[in-house]
Amino acid sequence: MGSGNCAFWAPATFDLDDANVAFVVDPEGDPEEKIRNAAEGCPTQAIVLS
Amino acid sequence: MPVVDGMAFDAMAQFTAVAGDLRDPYPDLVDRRRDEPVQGTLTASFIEGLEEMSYIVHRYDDVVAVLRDNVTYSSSAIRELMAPVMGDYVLVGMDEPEHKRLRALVSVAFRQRSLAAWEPFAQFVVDGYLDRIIGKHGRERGSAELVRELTFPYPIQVIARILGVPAEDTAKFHEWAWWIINVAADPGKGIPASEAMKAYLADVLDRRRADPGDDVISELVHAELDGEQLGDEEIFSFIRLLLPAGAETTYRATGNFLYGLLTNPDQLAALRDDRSLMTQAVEEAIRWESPLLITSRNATVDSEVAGTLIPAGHQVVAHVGSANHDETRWERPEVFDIFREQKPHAAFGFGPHMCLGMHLARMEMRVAVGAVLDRMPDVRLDPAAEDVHIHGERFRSPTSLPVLFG
Repeated sequence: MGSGNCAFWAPATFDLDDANVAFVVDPEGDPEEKIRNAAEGCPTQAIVLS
Repeated sequence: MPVVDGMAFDAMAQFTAVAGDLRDPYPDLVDRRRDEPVQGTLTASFIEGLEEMSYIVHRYDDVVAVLRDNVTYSSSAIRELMAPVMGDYVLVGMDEPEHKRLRALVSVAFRQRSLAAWEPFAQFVVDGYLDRIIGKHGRERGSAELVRELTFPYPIQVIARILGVPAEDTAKFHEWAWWIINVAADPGKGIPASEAMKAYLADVLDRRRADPGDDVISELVHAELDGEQLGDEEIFSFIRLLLPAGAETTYRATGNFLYGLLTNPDQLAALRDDRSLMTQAVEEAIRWESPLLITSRNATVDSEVAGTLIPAGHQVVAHVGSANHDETRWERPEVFDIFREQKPHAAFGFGPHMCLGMHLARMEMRVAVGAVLDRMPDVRLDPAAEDVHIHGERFRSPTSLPVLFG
C-alpha cells in the first residue's frame, strides 16, 4: 500500500519506488533495532525478518 | 499569500462540545487494560430509542490486530458516521479492494519525498505567524497564546495549498472543515457545512480542469481509474475528507507536543540544543497524547479478542489512546519522555487505512516546534495563566497555550 512507514523507521534500509512500492536499499543499512521497528510499524505486515 | 489573522471563528468556544468533556482518561484506561481489556458497552443505535452492544478494545496488541484485520473488522462503521458529510466515496469508510484503488490516486502526493517539496511552504506559513507574534513586541519581552496564534490556524494553510484550495478562501474552509469533522457532535452544523464546501469545490474543480496546477485537486480531476475519469462526487469525497483531516488532528498534535515540552523544561532545553532529537520527540508526543483516541470498525463475523466473544454485526472500537499507554509495551507510559526507547505506536492506526497524512503531520509538527525554539528565546508557560491542560475524550489537545518569551 506504500505507507512509507518502513522508510521512516529505517531510512537507510527501505525506500519507495516511483510506483510507491517499498523495496530494500541495503539489508544492513540501519541498526537491527530500527529495522525491527520498520517491520513492526508496517501497516500490512509486509516485512518479514530472517 | 494572505495569512489568516488568528482564528477565523471562535472554534475554542465549541471545544468541549466536540472533543468531549474529559480531562484525564488515562487512569481509568489502566484499569480497563488490566481487568476488562475488551469492554462491552451499550451505545445508541442508528434506530432511535434502541441501544446496541459495542466492544471497546484497549490493549496494544489487540488494537493493532483489529486494525490490521480489515476483513473481520470492516470500515463500514466509519462510512455510516462520515458519509453524510464526506460522501459515499470517503476513503476512511471503504473496504478492499475499492479502498486500495482509490487511495493509490493520492498516496504518492503524501509520501515523504513529495512532502519534502512542501516543507519550505510550511516554514513560510509558520514564519508568518511568528513574525506577527514577535512583531507585536519588538525587542521587548513578549507573550503569546500559541493555540490561537499558531497551532490552530497553521495546518489548514498547508493542507489547503497541497490540495489546491485558493489561499484567500482558507478561512471559510476552516470553519466548514471544523463542522464536517465534528459532525458526530452537531449534525445540524456538519451537514450544511458539507453542502457549502461541495458547492464551492464544484467551481474549483472546473478551474483545475481548464488550468491544472501542482496540487492534488488538479491530479484528481485528470486521474483515470480503469480508463475512466473520476466523477465529481468521488473528488468531493476526497477533499471533504483530506481537508478536515489535515487541519484538525495536526493542530491538536502540535499543541500536545508544545504542551509536553513546556511542562518539561529540561526536555525543551535538550531539544533546543540538539535538533537531532526532533524526530523521536515528535513520535513521543504523538504516542503520549494522541490527538484522536478512538476509531471504529464493524465486526463482519464472530471473533474473539482477549478471551471475549465479539458477535458479527456489532461495532468494535479500537482505543488507540489506551494502546499507546499499554504498560506491557512502554515503561511509565503516562510520562512524556523524548529520550525513551523508540518503537512504533498506534496513533496513526495500522492496516490498509493507516493515516495517509502521517508524514505530513510529522513534518508540520517538526517545522512549527523547530521555529518556536529558534525564534522565541526562553519560551515558557506563562506562570500567571491558570490551569493550562490537555482536554478531551474523543479528540485531545490544549485549548490554550499562554507563553512568555525573551
